[in-house]
Amino acid sequence: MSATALELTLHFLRKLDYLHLTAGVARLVCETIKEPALPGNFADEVELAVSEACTNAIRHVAGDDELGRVGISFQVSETHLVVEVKDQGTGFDIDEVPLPEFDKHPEGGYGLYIIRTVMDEVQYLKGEEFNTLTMKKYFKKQG
Amino acid sequence: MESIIIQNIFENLPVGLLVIDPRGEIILTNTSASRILGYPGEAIPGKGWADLFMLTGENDAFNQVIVDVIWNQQLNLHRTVPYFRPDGEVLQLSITSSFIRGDQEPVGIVVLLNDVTEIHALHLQETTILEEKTRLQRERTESLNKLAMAVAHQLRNPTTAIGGFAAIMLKKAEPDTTASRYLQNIVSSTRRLEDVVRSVHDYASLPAVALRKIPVSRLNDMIQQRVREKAVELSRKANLIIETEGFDVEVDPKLFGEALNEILENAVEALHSGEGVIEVSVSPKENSLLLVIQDNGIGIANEDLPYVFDPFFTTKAVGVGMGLCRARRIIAEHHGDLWIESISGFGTKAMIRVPRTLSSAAATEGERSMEIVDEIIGKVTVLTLKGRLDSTSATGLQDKVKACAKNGRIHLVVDLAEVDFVDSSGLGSLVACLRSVNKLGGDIRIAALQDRVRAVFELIRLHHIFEIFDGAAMATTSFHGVGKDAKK
Repeated sequence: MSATALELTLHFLRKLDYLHLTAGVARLVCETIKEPALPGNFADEVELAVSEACTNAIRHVAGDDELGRVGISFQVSETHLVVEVKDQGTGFDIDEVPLPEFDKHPEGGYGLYIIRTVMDEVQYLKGEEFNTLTMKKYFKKQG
Repeated sequence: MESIIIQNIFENLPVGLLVIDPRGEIILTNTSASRILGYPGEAIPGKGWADLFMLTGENDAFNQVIVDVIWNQQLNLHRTVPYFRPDGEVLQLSITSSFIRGDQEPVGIVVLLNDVTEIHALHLQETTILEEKTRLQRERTESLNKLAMAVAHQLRNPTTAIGGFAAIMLKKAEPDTTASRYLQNIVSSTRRLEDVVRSVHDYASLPAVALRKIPVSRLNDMIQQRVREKAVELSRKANLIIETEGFDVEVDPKLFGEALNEILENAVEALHSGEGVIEVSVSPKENSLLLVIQDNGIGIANEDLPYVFDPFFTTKAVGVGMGLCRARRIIAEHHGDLWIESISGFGTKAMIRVPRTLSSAAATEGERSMEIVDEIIGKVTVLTLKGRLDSTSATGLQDKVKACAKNGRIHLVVDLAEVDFVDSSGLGSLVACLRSVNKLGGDIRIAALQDRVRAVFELIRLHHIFEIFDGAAMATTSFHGVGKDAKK
């Protein structure tokens, strides 16, 4: 286990208005990472995953409460970054989400696939009060 | 005797008359009323108003008038409502209804009925004709534009050829001979013809206005810069006086700026070589914005004034004479007016009036995450996107493509050179756009992907359904290369 260098949590209303703010924060958080071997597209990929995850949490997660909230937190440690996105929707079973039908080129349904591709470890836990999507990305390429 | 006379007057009034007492019972009616309402005269008096009109359920609007008068104890309520007669006919009734109060308590309400069905139908017909007229006008303008574009296109190639060959021959010709003078003439004439073709093309391919809310101070900056530049270029001295108040205006900054430039350039050019003064005032007038640009230059001759907005009218040695024509069209596209007053020898006053708020949807600049600029090149429309293509901008893109398709523009190039972020929502909307355009026999081709944007395209395999080019020009040519007209 490595010590946490930075921890940052944001809570916001389920509105797309806040999407760019979270993407911007994700980039700022990545700028604090001191790892010299950090791949050049690290921040790009984190920004993409955050955009996909927050769009899902804001838009696609069922639950009619307009005033529902979304929480996002970033933890920077010595070897990796963890991003957690919490939503108050009814949630879904991550193992049931199918791969996109690439040959049919659908207009949507790529979100989770993209997240899984650009991040190293992805978990989704349904909870009583909220569900948590946890995304982990190591600073150096694994394996 | 008196009561008989009054009874007679009542009976023969051309308008229908009902008197309803506070309990809702109809206590008085005349022939016109029963004729209009479709009940025999003897069937009405003594009946409850509710018995006659409330039961059908269709006469809600009609009943509402009476309910409103009773509830609000209103005097002189006037409305036009539909009325469903028992025989099934539907009339448009103009109803004037009033509450009558006695000394102590309410006496009842008086209802005057006027059958305005015919007038109403005429009015409807007039509206339809008007709409049809506007539609025809729009279609005529569009087809005229298409014709102008086609002519410009057809003229460009031969003109370039004539000019090019003449220039080569001129180089080879003996200088100062008759032949070289003729060739010189051909070269300069074709150059002029090229200018004409270009300005016709520019005029016909005017893009649709994209309204933005901008602070009026930005207009001022534009005006100052333009006047300064032009004055330096012509070595004139322009003393610019601008009067404005702080408020926002809603215009297409690029197009409106172009129209403004044309007028300002004319103003600077008209200045006498001594000290010239250009006064500009920008002020809100009710729901409009009024822009007045006044110079103390040479003015416009009286006999020229009626023609200044005509295409190809010019008094300048250089210039094609499409400038003011185009400027007026741009202002018209803003639903505004441009007009000019001038006294020869004393100066010219150009006035622009545009509505201050055209659409409530006009976004404040900077608020939108993505900007879309469209440019028409032949049959191809190039959409240049700037900013982020994600779930916040996806609908904007789809609306834009829908609008293009509606105008028959189905050969689209989407230039992503200035898009620095895309996610799957953004690209998903691009797929939706492609599908809708494909259905109409068109295509969307992609130009200039930044590396990180290309990565997302490839990640979700969209490079298999979109043709991707290095630049917008190549993507545009790829459309023109299709079919029998293919050149090289």
